[in-house]
Amino acid sequence: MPPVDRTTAGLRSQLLRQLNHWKGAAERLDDFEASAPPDAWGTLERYVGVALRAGLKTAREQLNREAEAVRAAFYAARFRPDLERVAEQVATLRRRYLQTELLVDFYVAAVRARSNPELALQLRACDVMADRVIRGPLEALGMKAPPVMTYFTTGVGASIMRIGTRLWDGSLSPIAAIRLTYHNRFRNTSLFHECGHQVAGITGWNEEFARLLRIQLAPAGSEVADTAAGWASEIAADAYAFAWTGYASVVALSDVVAGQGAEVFRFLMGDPHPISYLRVMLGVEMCRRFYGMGPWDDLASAWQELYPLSQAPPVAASVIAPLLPLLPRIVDASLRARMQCFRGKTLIELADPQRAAPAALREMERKAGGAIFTSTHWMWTECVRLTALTGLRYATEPEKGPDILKQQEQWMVRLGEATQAAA
Amino acid sequence: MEGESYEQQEAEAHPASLDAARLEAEFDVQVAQLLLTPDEAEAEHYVESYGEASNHSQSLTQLDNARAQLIKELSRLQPGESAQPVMEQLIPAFVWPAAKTAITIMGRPKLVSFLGNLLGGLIKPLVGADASSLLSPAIADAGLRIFGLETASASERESLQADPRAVMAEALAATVEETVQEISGFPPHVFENETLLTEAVQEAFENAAAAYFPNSVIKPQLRESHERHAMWTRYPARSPRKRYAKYSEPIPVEIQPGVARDLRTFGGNSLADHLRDQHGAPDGKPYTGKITLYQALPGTRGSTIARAEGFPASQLHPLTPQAAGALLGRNAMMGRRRTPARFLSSPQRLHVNQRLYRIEPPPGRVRHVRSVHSEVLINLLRSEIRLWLYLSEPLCQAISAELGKSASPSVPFRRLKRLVERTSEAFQMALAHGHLPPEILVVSETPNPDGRVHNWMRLAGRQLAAKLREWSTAQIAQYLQNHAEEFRKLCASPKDGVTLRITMTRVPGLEALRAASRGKVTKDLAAGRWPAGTPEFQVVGRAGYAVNRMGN
Repeated sequence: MPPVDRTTAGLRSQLLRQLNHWKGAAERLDDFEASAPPDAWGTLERYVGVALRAGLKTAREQLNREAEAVRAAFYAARFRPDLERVAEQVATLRRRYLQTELLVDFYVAAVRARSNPELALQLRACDVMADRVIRGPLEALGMKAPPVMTYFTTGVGASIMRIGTRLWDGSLSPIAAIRLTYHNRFRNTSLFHECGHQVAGITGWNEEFARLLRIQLAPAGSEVADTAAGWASEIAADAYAFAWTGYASVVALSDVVAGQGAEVFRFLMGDPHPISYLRVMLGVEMCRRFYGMGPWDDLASAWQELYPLSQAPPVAASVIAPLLPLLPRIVDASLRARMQCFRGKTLIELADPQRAAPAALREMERKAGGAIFTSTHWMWTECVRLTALTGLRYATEPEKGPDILKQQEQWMVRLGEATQAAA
Repeated sequence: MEGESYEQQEAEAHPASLDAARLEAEFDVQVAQLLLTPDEAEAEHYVESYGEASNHSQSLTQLDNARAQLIKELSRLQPGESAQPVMEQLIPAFVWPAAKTAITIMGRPKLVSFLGNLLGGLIKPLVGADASSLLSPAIADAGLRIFGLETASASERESLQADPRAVMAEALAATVEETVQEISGFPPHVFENETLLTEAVQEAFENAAAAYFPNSVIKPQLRESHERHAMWTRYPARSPRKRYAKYSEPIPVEIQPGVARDLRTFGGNSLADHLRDQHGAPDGKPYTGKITLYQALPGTRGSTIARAEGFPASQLHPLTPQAAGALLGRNAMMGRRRTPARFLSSPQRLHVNQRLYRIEPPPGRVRHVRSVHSEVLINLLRSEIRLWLYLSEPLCQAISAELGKSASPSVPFRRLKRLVERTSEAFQMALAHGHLPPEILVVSETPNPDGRVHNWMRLAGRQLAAKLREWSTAQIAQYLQNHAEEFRKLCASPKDGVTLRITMTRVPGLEALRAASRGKVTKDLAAGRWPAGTPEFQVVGRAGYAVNRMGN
């Protein structure tokens, strides 16, 4: 091997500088984590914060170990080919750092959003509701509920990063992180839709439901059945939101997806979301099947008038037409079918939509007297149904809309305060 | 007489820590005296004598040091080596100041020598490596968790599993310490007879060993529980400053509503109140959960245990024989120790070796709710009685819902009647046990910072308690009948809970009681008769917690 020459020395120097840069950056990632103030971390339930910080620590430590390995390789390198291999490792280290930084940034940004005290309290209330609708059914099935954190961002739709999701750096998400939108934070039935995704992920509901849809809809043709089965995860999540909040989830969905005709009838192959028109009609069918006649009939009429099927693009129309008469069957498959993943139970045995029926919500309101939105007892025990009640009132008393949302905001803040004191 | 025997039994139970309420009351009295005394020398005496409280922390430090030394010495002993010298050297720290009676009768040197010899003999078969291997099966089966070493490092675990001598030393030290502490509760005549004393110490030793060694090494007839490897372990695990012990296994429990209603916890509340308020347990349904058991050691308050374990002190309940029988099933023996009434008013005032339990809350998020609470102020100077009932938020919402359902207030009244009855019962219990809990205050011409029940209180106390119940329940029923809507509005307030204050003025009998406090007992009082008549009443409801004995 030739002795070390000037270019090799130059390469060594460059590599050392780069290595120091990325290793130093990896070591300082905990500073980045600390950019979310302690008060913001404090708004997370303790066990959620612990799980999240443990996950971030694991990711940072893994990165630091990799950096140490590259450093060791650097100092062991004697000749140019060794240095060239180290150069590749440094490039990998750079990529790994950026992945880990993205991971840390994601969670820390979500926590940082809780720096605003009012938003933090609203998010705590969302945390409580999410935990309630995930934990109840899972524990009834003998399964462990994951730590859950919610956060607000801009945009139209909510989403979830489920626990155990493979992250950018290859690690698994230590908690379930549910993204909610600012515009909808006081009509947050989408929260329960996302929780449905989490429950489905843990139980295996999506896969079994898809198989069931193929079987149930087979008489309509394999193409129809396959299309519907491709939407299983979103239909399941919509059913979950309905089971917990009834009509409120349907009308909130309709407000989010309503738009131009082209948007309402958009059909994308491979998109797990059903055509919006069908999605809303499916929600209406759920209400009809469980509650009979009601304001959802008006919603359906309004949609049929605003978005006549005759104006749907041919491809979308060819999908919608055969599925419309099958909506009752889809409702039964999602809500009333006994599932192995639910240990032989139906969804409605785990979350009874009758508790969110308009009559039941009004009865709850009557029973509580004037305390329904002022008593921390009612907020704590019935926060999910209070959201359903707000959604129902918002839909049926639109002239009082701003006051209704203000009331929702106020009790969410109080619920956040009540649980903040306990944390 | 019941009161006299209770006075003797009260001496058995030594406070685990200084009584904060008593300290505050003493401070107030001392400051008042200091301000009022004209004599400089006397003033100096008050200042000097107030520092006596520091003696408690000094004796605790001595105890901690002795404990550390005992564990160290025990782990060094070889098989067959006498433990008597170690016992004689270190027992004094455990004996003083608790066993005053024993020391008075036997003299300290004789007591220490006797105990050293006896305990040294009792533990002799348990010292050394071979004896320590007794614990190996338990360590292998249940792990070091049951010895309180959940977080032991890998190297620690290896070392302890290879040589369980340290584990044995800790169990032995705990046994010896508790045995010696029990001595303070022996009746005086035991110390006058060597056979009686020997038998009593042996029994105390067996009971303590049954607590601190795994059941698998204890004879079945001596076990206090049934889990194979379960035992009590002192905490903090790796420190000599032991402040509490914890039972290694949570015990599954299903609590029936009637049982929860009848079981009393600190402050006279029912367990049902706690389950409703803190666990969100619905009325009338069994509650299924797990119970964790704790034991107070010297220097402990409920908050010490709670802080170490990571929960609020309000979640601790006294493990009375009644509670143990109702909740622990075949493990009920763990609650056999009787707790004097004065240690049942607050988790912050415990006696040494008092056992407590905590019902683990359901998993997930929790919300702390201020629990129901009642207080009574009997003001002899103003001939007035005030009763405050704080209704927790879940309780007042339940009452409000019931008032909204029906015009008749009988169902919600039943809930409040129980609160009033418990307050009256607490007063009667206080009279019987000679000590007023903090929730009951009697104002007379003489300050009573210790909350003692004087003879003049006992004269008509039972009748007064009965009248309190009779008058209060009638007023509550009337209030609910006539002010249901007002009550519902209070429940709709953003404040948590509702406080009802019942004020009784011109109370028949209070003048006579006041005279009795000055030594002038009327014939009626002496005969146990309460004068006829009813007070004037006022019932006021306020949103939120509004118990204020000092205010109007």
